[in-house]
Amino acid sequence: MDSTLVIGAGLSGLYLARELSRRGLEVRLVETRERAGGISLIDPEAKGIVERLTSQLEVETGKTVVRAAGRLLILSSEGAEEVRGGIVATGFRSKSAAEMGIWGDRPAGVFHFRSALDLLLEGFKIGERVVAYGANRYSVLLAERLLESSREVYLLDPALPPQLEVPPEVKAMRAKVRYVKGRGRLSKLVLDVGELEADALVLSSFEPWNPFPELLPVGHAAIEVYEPRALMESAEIFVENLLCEGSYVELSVRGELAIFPTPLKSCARRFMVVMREGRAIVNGSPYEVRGHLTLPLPPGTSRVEVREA
Amino acid sequence: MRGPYDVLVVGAGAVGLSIAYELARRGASVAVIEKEAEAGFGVSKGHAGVIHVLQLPLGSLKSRLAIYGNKMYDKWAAELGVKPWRLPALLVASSPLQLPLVLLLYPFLRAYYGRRGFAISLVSGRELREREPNLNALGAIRVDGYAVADPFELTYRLYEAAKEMGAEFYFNVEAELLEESEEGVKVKSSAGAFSSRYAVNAAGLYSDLLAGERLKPKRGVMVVFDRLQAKSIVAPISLSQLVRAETKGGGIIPTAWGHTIWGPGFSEGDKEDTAVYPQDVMALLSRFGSLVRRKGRLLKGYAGVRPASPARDFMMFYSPRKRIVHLVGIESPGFTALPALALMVLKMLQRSGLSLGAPRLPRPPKPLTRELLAAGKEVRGEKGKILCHCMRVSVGDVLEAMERGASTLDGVMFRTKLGMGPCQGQHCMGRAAALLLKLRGEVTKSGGNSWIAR
Repeated sequence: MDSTLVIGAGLSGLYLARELSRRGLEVRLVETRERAGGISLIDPEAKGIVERLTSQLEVETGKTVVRAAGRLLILSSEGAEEVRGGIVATGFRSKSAAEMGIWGDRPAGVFHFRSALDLLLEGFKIGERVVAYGANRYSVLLAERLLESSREVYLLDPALPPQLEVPPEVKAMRAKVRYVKGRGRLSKLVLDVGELEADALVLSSFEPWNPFPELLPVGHAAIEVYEPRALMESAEIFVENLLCEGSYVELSVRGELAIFPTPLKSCARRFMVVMREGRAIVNGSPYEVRGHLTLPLPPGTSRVEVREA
Repeated sequence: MRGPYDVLVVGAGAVGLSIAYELARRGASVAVIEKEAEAGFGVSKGHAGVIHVLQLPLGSLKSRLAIYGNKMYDKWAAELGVKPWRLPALLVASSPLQLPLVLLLYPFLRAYYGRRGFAISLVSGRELREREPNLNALGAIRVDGYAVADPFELTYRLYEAAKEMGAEFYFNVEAELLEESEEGVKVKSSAGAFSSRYAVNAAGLYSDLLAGERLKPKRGVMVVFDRLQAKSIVAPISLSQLVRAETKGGGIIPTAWGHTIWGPGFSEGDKEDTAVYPQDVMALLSRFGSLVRRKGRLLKGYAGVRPASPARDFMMFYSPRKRIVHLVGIESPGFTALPALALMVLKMLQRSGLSLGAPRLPRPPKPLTRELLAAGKEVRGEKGKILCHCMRVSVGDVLEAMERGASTLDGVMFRTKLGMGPCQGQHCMGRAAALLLKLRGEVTKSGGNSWIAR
C-alpha cells in the first residue's frame, strides 16, 4: 500500500503522523525546513511534545512539496519525486501589510511572522525597537523571545484581547498601524493614536491557509486556533473522520465561524466548531465558543447547521 | 582617474543597460556608473512590464520609438533569453454612456495604428463575455500587439549580457558632473573621476541635473492581486485619452506568473517618494473595481516614480560638442522603446565619430529551478532545496543570483521571484536573509542602511 504523505512537521503534522501510524498506516512526513517543529519551537506548552514526536518519528527534513507543470512533487537535494496526494499541515499564513491596511514606504524591517521567527531561530537580531502587530498567543510568545535580543518590544492590536496574558516587559497597546515610514530601514509607524518610533514590524495576524486546495488541510492550514491542545485534538478528529467509512454530512455554515473537519462524514464521532469568541447555534442549540468547541456527532446525523448567534 | 573608455554610461537602469549592452556587444569599451547598490534599482523597479502600442500624442518621439521598439521586441528579447507574452489590449466600455466612445475612437485608432501594422478591431458584448467572462463590460476596442514582460528579468539579462561583453560596472557611485572637451568627457563622481571619449546620460530621475534641464516627476502606484483576472490588458475607455496627451491612466495587467497588476495610477510626486498612500489605492480600486468580478486577494501595493519631462515627451539631445548624449524624460513607454531607443543613441554616437563593429550574441542564461521543473528536467543538489514553494525558488537559484551580481535581498528577489507568490515570502524571506547573512556577513534589502537582520 502507498504511504500517506503529511506535508509539514509542525505540531499538527507530527501529531497527525503519529495518529496515522498508531492506526497502522504507513506514513511519510516531509518538512521544508532543516528542523521539525514549526512555530511550536517557541511554544513552551508544545515544545516538549514536538521534541518527543520528532525523536519517535522519521521526519524527512529539507524536502518541499511543490506544484509544477500540473504535478505534485517532493523536491530535495536528492531530486524530485512525484506524489499522488497528501495531507496539508503547512501552518498559518500571516496577513500581508496590504491586507492589514498598512501603506506607506517599503523599507527594510517589515517581516512576516514566520520570516522573523526563522531569523530569530538562526540566532539573528531583527531590530532594536520591534513591534509585533496582531495580538494572539503566538505573537506574545514571539515578543517574549524578542526580549532576549531587542531593546524594546511592543505588541499592537486594534482590539487587544483583554484575556491575553502579556509579560510586563512587552509594551502592549491598542492601536491600528496605518503607514510605515523609512527610506532604507523602517524608522517610524504612523498609528491611529499617534506615531511610534520602531525599526522592525512583525506582521502577526494569522489566517488558515492551504497552498494545495486539492488536498485536505489539518491544523493551522485549516483552522484558526492558538492552543496546542486544540491542534492535537483536531489532528485526532481529522484521523477519525479520515479513516471511518460513512456518507458525507451536509454542512451549513453562516457567519464568522468554521466547522472542522470538512468534508465531515456521518461516521465521525465528533467535530469542531471554530470561532474567535461568541455564541454559535449548532443544530438549534446555543453554545459559547472561545477559540474552539468540540461537539459529539450523534450517529446517523445527516446535516449540521452552524450559525453565529 | 579611471579610463579612458570609449563610452561612459551614467545609470544602470533599463535604458542605460540597453545602451551599454548594444555598445559592448559591438566592441566598444564601456563603463557604467550607478548610484544605487544594484542595476535596475531606480525607475526600472517600479514598472508594470507592459510593452505598449498606443501612445499619445501621435507623432511624438515617444510614440514613434514605442512603435519601432514594439516591433523589434520579440527578436531583441529572444537574443537575451527573454520571451514577452503577447496579448491584446481591450479599451472597454463598462456603461452604455461609454459605448459611443468606442465607436468614436475606433476609426481613428484603426486608421493610425492599422497603417503601422497593428490590428485594431471592435469587440461586441457577447464576444467580450466569451473571451473575458470575469469582466463587467459592454463592448471594446481590441488592439493587438501589446505584450507583458517581466521587467526585472529583462533588466538583469541586459546587465549580465553587457557584463559578459566586457562592460564594467561601478555601483554605489554617483555622477556629479559631466565635462566635455574636444578630446572627450571627464565625469566627476562620488568615487573620483572617469574619462571617456563619449558619455551617455541615462540617469533617469537625476538625468535633468546632469543635463541642465528640470524634470517634473510623476508617481505611479500599482496594486497586485494573487490571481489572473483577465487574458488581455484591460483599460476603461475615456475621452481624456484623446484630449490630453497624458498617460493612459493605467490598466488591468495580467502577468506571466499568474498575478494581476492594477495601475499605474498617476499623481504628482518627488524623486525620492515611492510611498503608497491609501488615497492612491482607493483611486485604483474605484477606477477598476467595478470592471472585474472575481478579484482574488490583494497582495501588495508599490509605487514607481517616472522621470517625466515638462514637455511630456522623451528628450534625446547632444551636448554642445556632441560628446555627450542626454536622455531626459524617458518615462512610459520607455520600456517599450528600449531596443529602438538604444539604437538611436548608438547612431547619435556614431555621428559624433564613434566606430562600432558587428553585434555579438550573448550566451543563453542559466535556467532557474522553476524553469527546469516546467521543462520536466531533473533538479538536485542545491537546486532541489526549495526556499520559496510558491514560486519554486531554490537555494541554488539564490546562490546563482548572487553569482550573477545580486548583492542585496531585493536583487535576489527580482532575479528569482523569491517571495513574490501568493504567500508573499512568509516561508522564504527569513531563510534567504539568513543565507545571505551567513555567506556575506551582512544582508540589506536594497543597499545603504536597509539592513534586514544582524
